[in-house]
Amino acid sequence: MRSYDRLRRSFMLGAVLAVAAAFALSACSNQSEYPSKVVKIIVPFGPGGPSDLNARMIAEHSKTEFPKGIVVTNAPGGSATTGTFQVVSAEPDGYTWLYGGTAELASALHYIPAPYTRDDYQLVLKVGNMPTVLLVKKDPRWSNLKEFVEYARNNPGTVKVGTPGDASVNRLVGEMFAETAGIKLVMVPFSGNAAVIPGVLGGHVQAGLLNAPDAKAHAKEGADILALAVFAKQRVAGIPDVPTATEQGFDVTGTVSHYIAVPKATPKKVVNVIHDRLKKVLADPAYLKAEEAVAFQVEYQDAAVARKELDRWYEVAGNIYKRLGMKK
Amino acid sequence: MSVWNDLLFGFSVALLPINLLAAASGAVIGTIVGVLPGLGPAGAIAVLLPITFGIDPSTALVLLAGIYYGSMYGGSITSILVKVPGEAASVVTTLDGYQMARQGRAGPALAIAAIGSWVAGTFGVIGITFLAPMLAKAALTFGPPEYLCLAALALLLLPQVTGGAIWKSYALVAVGVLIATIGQDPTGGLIRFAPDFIPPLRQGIDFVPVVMGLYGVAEVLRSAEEWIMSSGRPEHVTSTPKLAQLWPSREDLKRSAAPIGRGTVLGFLIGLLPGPGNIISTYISYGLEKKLSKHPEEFGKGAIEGVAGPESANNSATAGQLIPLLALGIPFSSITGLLLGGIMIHGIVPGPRLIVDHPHLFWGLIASMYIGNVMLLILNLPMVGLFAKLSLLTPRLLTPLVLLFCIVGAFSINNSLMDVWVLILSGCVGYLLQKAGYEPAPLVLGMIVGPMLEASLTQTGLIIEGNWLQLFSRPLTAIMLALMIAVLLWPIFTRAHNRSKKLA
Repeated sequence: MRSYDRLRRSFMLGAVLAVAAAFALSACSNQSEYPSKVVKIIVPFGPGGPSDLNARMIAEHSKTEFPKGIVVTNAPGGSATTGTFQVVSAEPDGYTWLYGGTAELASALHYIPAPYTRDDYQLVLKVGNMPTVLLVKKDPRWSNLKEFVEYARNNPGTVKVGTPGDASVNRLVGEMFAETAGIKLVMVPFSGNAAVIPGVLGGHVQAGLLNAPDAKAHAKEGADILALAVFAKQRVAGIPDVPTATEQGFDVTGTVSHYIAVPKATPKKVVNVIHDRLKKVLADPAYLKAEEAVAFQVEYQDAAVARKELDRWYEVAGNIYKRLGMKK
Repeated sequence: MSVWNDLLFGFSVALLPINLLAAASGAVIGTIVGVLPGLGPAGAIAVLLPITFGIDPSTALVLLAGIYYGSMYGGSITSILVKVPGEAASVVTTLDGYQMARQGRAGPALAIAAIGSWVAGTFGVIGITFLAPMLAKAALTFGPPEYLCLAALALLLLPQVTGGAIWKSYALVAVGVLIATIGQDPTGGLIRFAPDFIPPLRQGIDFVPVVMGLYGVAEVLRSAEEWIMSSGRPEHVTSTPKLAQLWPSREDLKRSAAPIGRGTVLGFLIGLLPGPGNIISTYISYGLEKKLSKHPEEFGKGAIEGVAGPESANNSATAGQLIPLLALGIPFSSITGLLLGGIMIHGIVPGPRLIVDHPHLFWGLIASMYIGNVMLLILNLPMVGLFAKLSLLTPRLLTPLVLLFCIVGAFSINNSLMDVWVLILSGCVGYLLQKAGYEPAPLVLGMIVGPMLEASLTQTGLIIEGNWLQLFSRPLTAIMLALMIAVLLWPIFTRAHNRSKKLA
């Protein structure tokens, strides 16, 4: 009986050791073999918008770097805080990424009460920019930015500008521009970028603050929409005919930028793998060509530089929201 | 006649084997997407979008558009058979379609839905062929003030038509609008009614799980009750019908013809406007048919007109929604937004010059839609017999399946467990509403129109600079305001009229 007990005990011990060894081994192999399963990118917006489209393009062009595949999952709502919160509270194993923008990662946090802070996520890298553009319906009263500003100065309070929403970066850029130009613009929030265009074309608002891809899509030869200015340091490759605001005498720049972020506790080693492989994707000519076709400005930055840029936007946004009395 | 030449050219593109294959795949995938509750055309197109990066843009567009209009065919099937709308655009179809199935008339209901969809889909394409640029311009005169009035008019007028007591309908509309205010404010982005201890409420309450709960889960509960009440003896369960007939009779066809025609025109016009036109048009069509019917008392009890009209309307609305996209390059709904993305990836920008610059894309798509609609009819009609037999399955087999589909479907919308809770809660609420004699359709309407009302109210206030009397000086808003006043005064007027009649 006793020998049987001992046998059983040693058997149990052996089993426990074997299981532990197996775990240790698999843990080791997992570590070294990242990525060993499908990666999930969470887009905090619904399908069809620029974030969703870009995330899907990255997933499409990452097939060699992430052979197990990347799935794009939409988690819309809550002004993009829902999807972002899903990522910051996800398992920090490198298999859940956020495709995040300037607003939900920094600027909007002054205004929207979010269940996370800027310290709860870890940036992997910056993907690129969608510089803000000012679009108008073609009108003899304003064929360039100067004429538009002149009109707004002479008719204070009557120029209405459609934005994708009060929490958007576009609205902040619009406020910065209005302050620099010394004019008053009435900001009319719409529910997302796509909704602004019919408002501009129908003459319900006089202008729209959208992104470079929207200018590419709508301000074409033969179309009724004209892009007066892009708020970028240099002209944007996908829309070379659109002059910058700086060129026209108003030194204002502003952009929605896109970043890949992971939960804060994700191991450095894994983050490095993601960073290195995505950096390669961002330099892939096929990917760059696809993004230029939609006027998305690919720009790689490592996590430290990207973090600094977001910090600066957070500060700028804080001052503007405070001035507008919108700060929470 | 250059249009005919262009159309002929379009067919030369659409009849290429690869494009025929794309149209057929779109039709099949669309039908499946339509049948499965929860998985909507937007989700399916988003998933398939990357696949189209590598193929010719005209083929990509043929495929993606096929999924979209194909889903409008499939959505009616589960509405009729198990009272779970496959798409939000098929909520209204449950009202009479399911009743028909319970009377053993699932076959005629399914067949009429398919035929109406085909007529409306084809008419819609004809509309695009000849009227696209003109209509697109007209739709732009609708700005936020017009939407505000349209939304208010819809909330005032439509609850009167779905049956039940008026005050009950209005109460449910109000509840629907209030539920829609939970979560993100559509323009400001602020988050409302989401206490910290229930974080998932921040994302708002999606109307899809609510629809599935109010109809599907509530129906599961109802048949469970029936089973328990009959103390588990299946022979007492009344809900297994006999198949009275498989195909619509001549009488059915005669009664459906006019509703299909009206639903087609109505859906097409509403589809031109921004917003979920394919959903809203079904409510309006149902209301119109009930008002025009010689026997309105049959509505809600299996009137075939209640299937024919709305099912036609949602298909022609889908075609109507493509017009602003193709003619102006403006997506008026999230689904056309996805289609826009699918084309833009190839460096092609839809807009006024699309027809001139990329005729093979524009005319190819249009020709493929004529073909696709015929394919869908051929695909759907032979299935009528098979699907109709499904309605004969005993509830004991069918209800767990329905419940399973609803739960999986609800979860798959946003990959959120919260939607499953919403589904279950709405199911219980829907069951209780049924007991209390409420028809839940107005609640869904309130949830869909609510955000539109809220956004346009904010925008209108800013655009008209707080001068609300301006609404009377814009022609379209003035007409809609006059209609609203008429709707409000009508009951008082008729009452006074009846009283004076009595006195005389």
